[in-house]
Amino acid sequence: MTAAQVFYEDVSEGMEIPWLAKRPTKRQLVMWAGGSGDFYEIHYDKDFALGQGLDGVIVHGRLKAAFMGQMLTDWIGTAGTLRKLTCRYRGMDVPDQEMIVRGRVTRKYVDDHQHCVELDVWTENPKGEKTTPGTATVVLPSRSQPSP
Amino acid sequence: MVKEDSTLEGLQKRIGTEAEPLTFEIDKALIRSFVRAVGDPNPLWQDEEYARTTKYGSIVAPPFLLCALMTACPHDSRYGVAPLPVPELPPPREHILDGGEEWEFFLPMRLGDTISSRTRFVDVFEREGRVGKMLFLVYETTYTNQHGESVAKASYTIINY
Repeated sequence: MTAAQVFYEDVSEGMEIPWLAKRPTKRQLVMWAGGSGDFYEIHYDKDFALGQGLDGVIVHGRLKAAFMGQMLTDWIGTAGTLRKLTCRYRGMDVPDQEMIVRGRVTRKYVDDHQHCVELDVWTENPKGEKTTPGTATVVLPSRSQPSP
Repeated sequence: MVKEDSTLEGLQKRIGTEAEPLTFEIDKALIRSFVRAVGDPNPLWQDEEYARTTKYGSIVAPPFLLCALMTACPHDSRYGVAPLPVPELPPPREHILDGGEEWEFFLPMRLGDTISSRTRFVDVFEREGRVGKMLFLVYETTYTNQHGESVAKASYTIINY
């Protein structure tokens, strides 16, 4: 977030935005449970998770959604605005392994003087599988028309 | 759960069922516990001096704070182990798949704001899938601040079969 402000003109369709590397720990899952109120035991109780047929505890889907939010707000800077985020929790992720959060621009357009950018966003596990595919819409400042 | 709820018609009658509304205040402690859990050091969420130099003029909560404060929360164990958007209306069939989630952000949430969220069961339909007929249950949450302004909207779909 200390990077230079990105502008609409800097963006092209197909480009990837800076990725974010995460490595959620079990401690982090407990913090998220406490912060979110999601106390579903599959996220911190290994015995319970095994009883549910899982190999161990798994990362909260919404924590992964928040990681995508973090990547996007890092990228758009304080002059940009996050408008929309969607995702599907397609694959499970386990704690204590690397997760890369990524995004690619799919479309840019001006709507009612707003400089909008649409992206595909996703989290990727060490095998390169997209475990949380989603989309996002952000509004960026324009060099030709500074944001109000 | 009563039996009639497991049919499409039974569920359709319950469209509009609302979970208990939640109210939360955007304060520094809430933001801190959230950004620590995510591991997000962005000063816009915590550093008053920095935030003053931005278009917001003061600290704002990360919009994706709402990923945590979704409808399912607080998780009510009376209704089973998995968090449910509308706890009084558990999906009737055995298996649950995620059908996707989305958030739309309209206005920033500022320090001191009081946000009220209301979650409703808004739609149900049935589709033929790989494993037979699948129910799609759609929930919507609206977030309103203390001025009555709509700050965000979220929706969540559960596939149940």
